[in-house]
Amino acid sequence: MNEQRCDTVRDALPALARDRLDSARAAGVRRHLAGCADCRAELELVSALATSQPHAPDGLAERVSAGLAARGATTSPAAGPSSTTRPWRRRAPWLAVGLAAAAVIALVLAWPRGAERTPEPVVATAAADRATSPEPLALADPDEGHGPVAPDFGVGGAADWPGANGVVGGSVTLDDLSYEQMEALLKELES
Amino acid sequence: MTGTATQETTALLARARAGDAAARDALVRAHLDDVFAVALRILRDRDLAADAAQDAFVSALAALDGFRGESSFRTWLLRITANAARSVGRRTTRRREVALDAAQATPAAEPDPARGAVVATETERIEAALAELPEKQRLCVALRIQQDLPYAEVARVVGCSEGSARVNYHHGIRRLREMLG
Repeated sequence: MNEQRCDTVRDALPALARDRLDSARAAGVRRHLAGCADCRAELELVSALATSQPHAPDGLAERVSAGLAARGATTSPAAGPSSTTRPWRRRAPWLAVGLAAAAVIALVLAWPRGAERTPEPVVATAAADRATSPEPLALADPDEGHGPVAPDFGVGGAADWPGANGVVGGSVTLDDLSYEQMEALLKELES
Repeated sequence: MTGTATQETTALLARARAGDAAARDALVRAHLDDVFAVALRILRDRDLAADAAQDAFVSALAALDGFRGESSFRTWLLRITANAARSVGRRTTRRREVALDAAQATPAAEPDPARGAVVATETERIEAALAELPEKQRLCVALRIQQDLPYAEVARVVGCSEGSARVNYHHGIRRLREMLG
């Protein structure tokens, strides 16, 4: 008997493929797989994906390290005033402010006309690298809030489903959704 | 990430913050494959992905003081990588648009992993199918399975809600299964 639902099992397949499930959980998943061809097929795909990660080309590590060394990309030292590796921005804050302003102006001038502006901050360019800002450009700390977060619909288990609103009010698993319903759900989540 | 791996990363971060170049290089080696893979998922071009990987490390290591440790360093770095890759993509698109305007010529086609060459191995079939997915689905599938991230961290890297990460993952897997048969 497959006591676990397909959606619960499928969420566990990446961990199963890497042999990271605890024995009890793995046993339950395997019991389900023994009787579910669909989930077995998905495990086959997940296992193939897990072993097909692209690798960085030869020499890239050295190229990156050389680039960092050339930029003098050391970070602010943890030590106090006696450190000999102060970042330049602490020596000349006025210069840093000026470069920051120049970087912002350059960014505005380079902004593509008509291009879709994404809420994603852009990566620090070479100029902006040297500018000072309380927070480096674009290094959005993923721990920082980025405004309202779409509701987490969750899948299966003890997830709290939304109330009356939403395309999937009443639907229990993603497997039950058609492509159209899934697209609509994505639009709701991302609006 | 195991406890030991986390401790090692914490120690490397502390040394890198203090200006230790060897620690910095060790962080690059430890995370380069993940960074390159995420950049490749977004850009679908190995040369551009290499550029984006470099940009990502430059940005991340210049801003280590801003990493507060509330997420894993790897998640934080991969979020920066996603931003870097999109930035490289925008710059590349603008250069192509300028070239088109100037020359009124069709640009040389980028190697498209989804078409063209005969795919000989299962890995190549899978890579080609992944490249066909919309970016968000592609990223969610790759981050969940190949970078082995939980949904919450997938969401942080991609910049969406956890619910959206789940749905994009399942939608992507379903499409892949249809493409690969």
